[in-house]
Amino acid sequence: MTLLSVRDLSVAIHGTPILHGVSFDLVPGEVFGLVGESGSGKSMTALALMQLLPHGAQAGGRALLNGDDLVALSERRMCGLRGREIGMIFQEPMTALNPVKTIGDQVAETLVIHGAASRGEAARAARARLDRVGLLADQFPLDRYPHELSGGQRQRVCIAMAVALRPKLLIADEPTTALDVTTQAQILDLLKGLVEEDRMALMLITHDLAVVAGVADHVAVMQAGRIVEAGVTEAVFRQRGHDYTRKLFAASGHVPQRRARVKDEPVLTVEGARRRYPLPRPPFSAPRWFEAVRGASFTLHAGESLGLVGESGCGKSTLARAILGLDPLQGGAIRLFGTHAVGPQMPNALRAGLQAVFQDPYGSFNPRWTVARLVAEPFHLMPTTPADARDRVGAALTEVGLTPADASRYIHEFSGGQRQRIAIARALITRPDVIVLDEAVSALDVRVRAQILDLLADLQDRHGMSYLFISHDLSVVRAITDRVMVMRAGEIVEAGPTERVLDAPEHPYTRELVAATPRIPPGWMEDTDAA
Amino acid sequence: MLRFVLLRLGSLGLSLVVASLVIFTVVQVIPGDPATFMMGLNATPEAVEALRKVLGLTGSLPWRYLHWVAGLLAGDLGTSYTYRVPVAGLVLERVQVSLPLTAYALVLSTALALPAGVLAAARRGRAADVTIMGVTQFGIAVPNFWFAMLLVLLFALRLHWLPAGGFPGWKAGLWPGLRALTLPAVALALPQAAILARVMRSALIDTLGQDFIRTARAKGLSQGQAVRRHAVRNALIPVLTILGLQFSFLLAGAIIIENVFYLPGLGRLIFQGITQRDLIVVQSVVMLLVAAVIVVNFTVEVAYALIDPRLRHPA
Amino acid sequence: MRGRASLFIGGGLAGAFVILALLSFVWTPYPYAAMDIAAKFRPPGALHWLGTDQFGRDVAAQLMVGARTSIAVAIVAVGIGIAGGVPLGLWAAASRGTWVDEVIQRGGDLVFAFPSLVIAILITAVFGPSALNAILAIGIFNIPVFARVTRAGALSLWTLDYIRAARLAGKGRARISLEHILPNVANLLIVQGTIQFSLGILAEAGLSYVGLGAQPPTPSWGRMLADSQTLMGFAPGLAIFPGMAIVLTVLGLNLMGDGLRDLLDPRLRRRA
Repeated sequence: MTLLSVRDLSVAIHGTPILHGVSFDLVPGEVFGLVGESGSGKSMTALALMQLLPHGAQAGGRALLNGDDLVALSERRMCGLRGREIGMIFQEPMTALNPVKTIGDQVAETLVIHGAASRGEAARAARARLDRVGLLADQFPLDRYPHELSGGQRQRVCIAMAVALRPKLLIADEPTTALDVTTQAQILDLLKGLVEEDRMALMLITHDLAVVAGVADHVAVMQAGRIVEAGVTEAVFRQRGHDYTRKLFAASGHVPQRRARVKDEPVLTVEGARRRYPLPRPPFSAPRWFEAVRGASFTLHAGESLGLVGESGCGKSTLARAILGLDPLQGGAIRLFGTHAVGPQMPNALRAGLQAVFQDPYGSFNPRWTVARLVAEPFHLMPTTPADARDRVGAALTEVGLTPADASRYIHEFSGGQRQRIAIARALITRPDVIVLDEAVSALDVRVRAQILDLLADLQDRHGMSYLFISHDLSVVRAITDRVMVMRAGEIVEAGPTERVLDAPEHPYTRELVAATPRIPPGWMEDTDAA
Repeated sequence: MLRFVLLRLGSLGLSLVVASLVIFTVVQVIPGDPATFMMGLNATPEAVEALRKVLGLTGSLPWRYLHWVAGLLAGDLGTSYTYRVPVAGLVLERVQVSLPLTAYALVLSTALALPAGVLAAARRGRAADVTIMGVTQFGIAVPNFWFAMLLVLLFALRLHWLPAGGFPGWKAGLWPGLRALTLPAVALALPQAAILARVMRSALIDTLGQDFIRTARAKGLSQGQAVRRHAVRNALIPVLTILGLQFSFLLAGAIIIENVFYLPGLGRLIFQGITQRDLIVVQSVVMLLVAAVIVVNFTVEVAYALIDPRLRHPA
Repeated sequence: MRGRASLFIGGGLAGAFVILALLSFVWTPYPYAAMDIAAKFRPPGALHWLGTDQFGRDVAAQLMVGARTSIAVAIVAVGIGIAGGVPLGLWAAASRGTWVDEVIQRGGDLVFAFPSLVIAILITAVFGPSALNAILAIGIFNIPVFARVTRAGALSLWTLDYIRAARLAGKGRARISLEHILPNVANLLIVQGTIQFSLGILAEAGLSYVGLGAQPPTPSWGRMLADSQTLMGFAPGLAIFPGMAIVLTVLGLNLMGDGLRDLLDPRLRRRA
């Protein structure tokens, strides 16, 4: 029995086609996964079904839900369907709720707007729905405001709102992408439970193949506005019939070739590092401090690649800032080569040995500078700019897979992946001993990410520098590091060889983290070619 | 919430103190001896000394400052040099014109601007929006005193609908008083309304682009319902800021407009004070105007907290 | 596209008045102060394009010279605002959360509590009315405006990774402010500068209208309006032309500001 039947759905924005002939079916009680890289048209498909496309967009084709064609229905009829027959949740829970209305009002509104309940009944129903999504009355009364909730809690409110009237179809657009893995696992469990309980159909849009593997009954792979392959999830994963699917799947599990040559020379030592900062407080009240890093200790060896994983707010970025000498420590010490103290006052010559690549490929560069000037900026650390500065910029660009001619261009002319290459070139230019990679591949699509990981492995082979690889993504850490440390609430709770820690975790938190991380069942991906 | 209000009250008090220090410094310290300044170069030392006594300008600077502030708090604004009467009495008379004028203008401007801004945002890019934006573009370019002159030209001199100037006093009745204030209030209000309408429009358009509006639409709210139930209250936050600033613009504008219409308000009092070198009047009236602006800004900040729960109880 | 159109129309309007002002240094149809009682209250015509005033002075010539006053006052006032406000804004943003930031911000709030006209009144009450005092009064008010715009723009830039990269390259806050922050808030400053320029022209007109701006014999649009007020009944042209000059200049500057904002705002560009 089909609930929603989409046939030849197309969307054009100001005449430019975005979606081409998209067709699929949804069945009650089943999860349909729609996967693809950014810009592949996944979200457009969902918005077209909701008739919430941006201005200037025109949809064609058919999408039959109970005999109603969602593409052709009038706006009035759509208002009656949205929220009642189709619920939707979005990626960014932090901004998805109205900041000036209570969560109770916002959940109850779904019922009130459809005339399904009086105000009093709606409030009771809202209470019941919030309880169902795990926000219990004693901790989360109806008069809470969104800003008092965490991201995961807000996403639960969004879900309560979307399923308040028990719609037949729920569309979830990257519902867990902005969340930590443990929260992600809980939200996915909640969604699965709702699907089974109410025999809803769930359309789950995600870029994460592992999430789909764990949750979806059927899956469709999208590329450039088309569905290139679709079917039962396990079958699609095993067969990988289309060329694009093969590449995508290969990239998601890609492990770069590394010839690790870790030497037993400590390069960077961190001893009992403590970092705290003052919380904002009203005047005339006692200062309050937030202990972001509470006594972290570790050693990074020459040629080693060391991972640092943890969820948002665990202190890994604060620790990274201290290691880079950007912030002072309140206790303990960080040393380069066992003797030189790292900190805001460190001499330039020492700083040259310590460079970094950051997460955001768009915010990492001054848009008004040429690539030559951007890459050469760390030369400021040298007493005088080297005479061969131009050649060295050219050489660094060549090393990261670009050309010396790129030096005269501006940063907006490059793609996200190319920008990360330029960021790596900038980090290389002073030939540092340590490069801190702070979520350096997190913003990239899987295929680009695989290429950047290859580049990083290759550069380490050639120059033998050490990496401190900070990430929330265990699969990336597994691919690129020799050892890994797990951080939680400002403390390193477990450290050891990467495979050992991730395959046989000892600390309960590590176990929780590893268990929560979605994985493609090992058998599904046999005979993966390394392409 | 109480803590928030107390904090704001503290900063309100601090602002008032600093403002009074600045005004006192400019008026009484920079020109040297105020009594000499007021009487001119030809005055005899005895006459200056006598004036000093009358105006209470004897003693050291800190003492004079404290004396002035204590007087202000007790409602004593000093003695006018020209009129030889308490400034407080003069001010009380004039406030009866200036305050109703400013309030009248503020009501007019808000009543016109907010609906126009909402309409323009809701009909973005269509005829109503283009018209409103065009009119407001002109509105913000027109100096209010020139607009006032044009109004007088049309409605008073040609059509004889409303008086060209002067004020009959409230004793003559509410209606004649309102009639006399109508042209001045319109002249003050329209240029401000143009600014406010544009702010309302852009704030609403910004809000309509936010994720939570899409969430509301996904719940089944129509575009209109989403605007009314979710967008307007959020958009009011920047609008309130401008509304607070407008009060000070209107107050300043009123000073000029009173001159166009020969209204016996605070503005005229200040100008008389300046031409007659009556520093005591200038000092006290300026302090009063600045205090009014500071108090209004305080009210706006408290109003913020009523609209925005993030300020009321931070997480 | 709309941005470009308003930039051209606005720039054309404002530019025309700037050219007229510059032209007045070398040529006006009549000497602006030349009285000719016999030719008073002439309507606009071939001899006097915009007519003559109560002393027989040529209105067009006075408007041209008046443009000079208005534009000069507004430009210098914007200059004061930028020279004072931009460094303060950069400094406040670079020392976010410290007392320096707090003092700069509260200082700005305090200036905002004085309506600009009240500042002008205070200054003239003590120093006497003049164009210079008008400039000062308008300029002081511009300082916190530019400080706020600069600080707001700078704060969002300070969170970006290229600032971290610059710190890793050993650069201090002052150097980062100059090399990375200032060029990237320049767009904001250009747009704000246009807005303040037009507000400056309005403010100058208001001040000279009430006699607190440029003093006779220097012509100014505001005082031409004040002089025409009593004559409005039978010579409305004297009130119309200076007013139109103000409106067109301010309208031109505002349109130009809108156009610049559309063209320069990276947020709008990225969305497009």
